[in-house]
Amino acid sequence: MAETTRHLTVRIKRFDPETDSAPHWEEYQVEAEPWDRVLDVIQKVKWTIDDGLALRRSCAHGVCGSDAMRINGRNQLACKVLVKNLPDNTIRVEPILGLPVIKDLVVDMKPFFDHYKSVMPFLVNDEPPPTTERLQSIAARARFDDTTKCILCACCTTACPPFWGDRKYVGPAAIVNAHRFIFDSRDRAAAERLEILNDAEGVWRCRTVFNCTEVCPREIKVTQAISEVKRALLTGDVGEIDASAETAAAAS
Amino acid sequence: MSTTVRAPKAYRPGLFTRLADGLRSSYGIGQWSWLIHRVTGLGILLFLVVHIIDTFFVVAYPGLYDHTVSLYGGRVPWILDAQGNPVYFAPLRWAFRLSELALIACVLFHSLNGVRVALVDLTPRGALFQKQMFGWVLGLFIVIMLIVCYFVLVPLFHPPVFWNFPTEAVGPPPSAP
Repeated sequence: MAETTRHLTVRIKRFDPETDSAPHWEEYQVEAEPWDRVLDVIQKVKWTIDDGLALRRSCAHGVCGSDAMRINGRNQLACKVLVKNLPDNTIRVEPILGLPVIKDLVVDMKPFFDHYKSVMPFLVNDEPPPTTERLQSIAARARFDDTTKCILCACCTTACPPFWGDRKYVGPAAIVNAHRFIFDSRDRAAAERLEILNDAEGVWRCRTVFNCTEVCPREIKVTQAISEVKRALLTGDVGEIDASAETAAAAS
Repeated sequence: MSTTVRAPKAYRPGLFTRLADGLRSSYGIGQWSWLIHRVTGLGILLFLVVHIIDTFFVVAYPGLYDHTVSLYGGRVPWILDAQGNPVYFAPLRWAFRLSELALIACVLFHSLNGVRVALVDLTPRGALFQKQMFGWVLGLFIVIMLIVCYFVLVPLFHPPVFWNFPTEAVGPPPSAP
């Protein structure tokens, strides 16, 4: 693709709760540089054409995870898609699917965060802390490294066909965050979390569609993490590493 | 004190719209394999219902069972020719043979992909090789289907052979002696 200014046709799915009963498409013409991001393009629409356009964005650098939207039918962070990588000069932008749309590209994230909270996404350990840190070996830390990368953008959960059909399904993002603590050697609530996820609306709703893995902007192997939780439920084995050997190894 | 003067309603599309909206753009092999797995599962379910009904006839209405089986072979039991045999109707035989082929395709894909899904869930590194495994599923499916196609389709080009000709009309089940 030539490194010149591109004339883009931006089609955005608009929904105004005060006047519309259903969303409709609006088309905007925008000039964009190849190094612009889709987020810049949408903001150009908002700042120069229609200031009524609603969207979420915070850091705009792929870290906060607030600008997840469906770009050309695929869940992506608008701040991580460059104009020069767009296949053609028409872009379709829609809100992520499966959560109620509040306005334009802004969806109600409450159901998503409720599922996230339901798996106890925090370290549980009532043992008295040592005078220094709770030491952990490199191997024990690497066990759950992949799932620490989650930024809760909801790309995975809203790309998941079982979640489209059933909003009670806890969703890939919540399972990823449960995985992060279940396999943490410092955590003591793995059994409780597994009990929560051992449900028809828990990990067993996963049909290994792999859309979550496909869309994750942090390249987390989501389906792999979910299947690890499934196997932990079947075998009762969370890969417990011998704590005393661990501490000795970490201290040396 | 604050009061909510108006509470605009959030929009949530219906189930059909959500699924159609989501499936409109494919995310890749995973979603296709999932979709085909579901559709072939429904195909097998449809056959199972038909199969349970026709085997039920064996016990309940043997005459009707013979009629059903002759229908599967391409003969219309309620239209008789000059000799009193059911009329053979080639398109009907083709339709049932091709449906049989579709049924074998459904079962074959569903079982091969079922093994893939089981490997994804049960082996430690299965999920990392789902695309390669889908390649194997597709390859095996095509090879086996080619062989099956030969055996299912070749008889269609020969005249049908009928072993038993139902002669009695459909009636109430025979009373016990």
